[in-house]
Amino acid sequence: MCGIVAYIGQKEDVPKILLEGLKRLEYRGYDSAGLALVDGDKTYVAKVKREGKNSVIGDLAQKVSCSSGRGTVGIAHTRWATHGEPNETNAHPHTDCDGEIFVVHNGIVENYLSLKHRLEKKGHVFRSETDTEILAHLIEEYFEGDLEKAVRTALRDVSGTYGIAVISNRDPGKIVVARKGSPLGIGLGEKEFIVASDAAPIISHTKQVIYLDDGEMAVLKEQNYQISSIQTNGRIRKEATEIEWDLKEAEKGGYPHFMLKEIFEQPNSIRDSMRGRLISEEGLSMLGGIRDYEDVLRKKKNIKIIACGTALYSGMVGEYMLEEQGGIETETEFASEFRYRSPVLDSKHSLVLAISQSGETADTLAAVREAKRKGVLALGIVNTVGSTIARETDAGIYNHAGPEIGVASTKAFTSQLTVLALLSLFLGRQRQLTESHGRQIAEALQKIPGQVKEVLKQNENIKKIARKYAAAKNFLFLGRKYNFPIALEGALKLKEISYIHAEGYGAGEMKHGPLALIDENFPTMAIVPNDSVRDKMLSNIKEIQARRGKVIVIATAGDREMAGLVDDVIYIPETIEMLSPILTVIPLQLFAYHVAVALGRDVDKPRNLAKSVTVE
Amino acid sequence: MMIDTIVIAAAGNGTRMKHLAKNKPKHLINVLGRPFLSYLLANIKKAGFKKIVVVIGRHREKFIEFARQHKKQFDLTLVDQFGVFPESKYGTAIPVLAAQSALGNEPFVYLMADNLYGVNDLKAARAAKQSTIFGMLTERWDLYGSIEQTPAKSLVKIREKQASPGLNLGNSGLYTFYQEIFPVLEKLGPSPKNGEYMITTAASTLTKKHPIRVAVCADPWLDFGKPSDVPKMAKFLRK
Repeated sequence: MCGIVAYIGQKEDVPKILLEGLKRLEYRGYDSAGLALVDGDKTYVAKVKREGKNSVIGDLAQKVSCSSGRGTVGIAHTRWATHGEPNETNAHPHTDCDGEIFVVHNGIVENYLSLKHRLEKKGHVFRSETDTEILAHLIEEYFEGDLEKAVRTALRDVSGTYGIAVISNRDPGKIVVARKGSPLGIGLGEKEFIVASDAAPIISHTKQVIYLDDGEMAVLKEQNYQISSIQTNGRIRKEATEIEWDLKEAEKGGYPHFMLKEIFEQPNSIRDSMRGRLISEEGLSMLGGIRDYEDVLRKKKNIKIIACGTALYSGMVGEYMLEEQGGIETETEFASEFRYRSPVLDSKHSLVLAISQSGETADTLAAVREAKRKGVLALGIVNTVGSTIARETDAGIYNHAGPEIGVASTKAFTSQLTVLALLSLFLGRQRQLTESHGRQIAEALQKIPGQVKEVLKQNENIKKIARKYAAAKNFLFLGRKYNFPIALEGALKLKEISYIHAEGYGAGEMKHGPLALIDENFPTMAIVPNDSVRDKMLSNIKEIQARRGKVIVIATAGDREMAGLVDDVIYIPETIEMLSPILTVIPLQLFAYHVAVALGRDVDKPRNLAKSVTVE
Repeated sequence: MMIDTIVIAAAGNGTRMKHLAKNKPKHLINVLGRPFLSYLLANIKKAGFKKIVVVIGRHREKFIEFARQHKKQFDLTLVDQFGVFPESKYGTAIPVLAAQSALGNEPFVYLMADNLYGVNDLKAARAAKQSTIFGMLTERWDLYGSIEQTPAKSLVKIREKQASPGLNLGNSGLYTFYQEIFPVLEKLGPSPKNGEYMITTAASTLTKKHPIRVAVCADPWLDFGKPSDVPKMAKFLRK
């Protein structure tokens, strides 16, 4: 995700302003940080990598105060790594061959490799492994005295997303910023401008902000600014908006909790998980992280998915996807179980797939090591770049969902489902999945972010339903097939943050025990999209109602029969069966959230739980 | 010294081919049982080219499949334009820039993949000793652009949709370029009319510093852009 701050103006202590701004953005990324200042033809750069549990901004402040960095113009960055390990070389700001153009960047340059080859042929020398450094050299390549013109021309060669700020001592006294897919706001002050990835750093300086839209860029000088279109040069006039939040609210983007913010980020995080990885028209997915193993993977005959908690439930959905679409025998197992028993693995035909948001989960890491000890190829689906599981697996796929602050996992889960769908497409097309079927999956996947947005619009409705049931002491969650793991996840979410006891069950098992629990005080949440097992679920719901149990249903929009059957329905848009979990889990996240809030719980930091379970 | 390298632009959208190009690139539409591109490549091979660079974009997997199936007949180097540049950087000049890293320092011939060029014209392009543009006699400059040349047969400029003074010479889309084209391409901006980066604009700019020679196509020339071109092409190929 990353956070950017930039400042141009008359205040004396520019480093202090930048560092304070970065502190407000630390939640966006914190594995490394840096800043650059320009003062006429003089430049200053400082970068640090996070050490242990220290605040990386604190460390950067120390480094800066030990030197005498001065400047009237500055840019700064706090990093959440996507390309290149977290270290000082890969930290931003990045610079060109002569160290005269500085860039901070939030986003992903998709074609950075081919741009890099082109530039290397022209003699550019690269220091880091990042995609961002390419931007500095590309701007250098096109620079002829006017920084804005060089940035504009360079950006036309760039595929991907960016929120960038650029300064140079070769064209001092200005900051050039641009936006495509990553947020950027310009705070309008008294003869000063402060730019940032969101409102948090801007608030203490001004309440007037202009948010750039995609495809727009701006030049900021001390006295004035000009916004224009990147593609057409045309000048653009925009209205400033007034920030109404206070600081705490601004960090959470106006949301009362990080968890709610992360739930609402899902349309974007899911899109980022797919970005550059789907060739719809051929029904193919492109997974750069495992491409080198393409031939090896073709020969694998069984997959063992290992994970903990919510990640395991995504693995269970993945199991069904990999078997149904991929045609490969797949099993899921809790890492804590796998590592202590003696699983049977075949180094020639088996593949171990570890799923972890943090990449540091102790049991999952131990399971990966166990698998490797047995000579089995290990892949990882990990959200944190450079984490231990990412480093120790042979290859893998990064989620690109950005840092997840809330302890209860939400956007990491849906991005795991997205990556698993891409992996099923990849492995399936190597086997019996046809092009037209693959295309169907790819096209449905592309619709998902927009559909998630539709589901999120029902937030108020879900809140009402949650309040109705907040007094429950127990809850049953039911689902079948692809939505059986979602029932498990829904129950886990409710347990985690509201502390209400909840159990997830496959609906087919209900009659073999749990049905005995049902009475008017034991409500049920049934996940019943319009798929191949809908009718069976319908019978299960009737059985519960016959015992006076109340039922909330998650159903596909247009399913009128449900509306007549139960009191409370939450509708989701129609999609293919294997992707329905990405949509059905959203109301369950919101349901758990609103119940927890109604009960006054600490949603972002539930009792007894830690974000990354690094103990066994 | 004959030129051995040719760059073929095949990244296009095929919008005029409509339903025929929905699931495959227009250059791979079958004529008389074989994909159109194989006829063009056969002529290119007969003309003696050794290195064939095909710049692809949309439907890239279909080209990769085509290249794999025809590996014994044609040794193709594929370049994915959309891997080098964003899709928004589009136009007839972009395939040349995208192919730059595959080219080295030699001169090269450049053409659009949706025209069937004859062997004689391709040979003439190979033999060109300076940057050259090939025109053909036509009344349809609204379709093909028109070439204005000096009495000494140097390119003055290329006009889109407008007749040029003098001979009715349409732009066939076949060029020979020497390395001097690259600095011009790198500085090339998008057309104010449609935002595309056009090779014709680049040529009109290049000729001011390094005069581009104008040559005339000797072979008959057919383009392959609309559904009605399929039977027309079939008829021609039967002969």
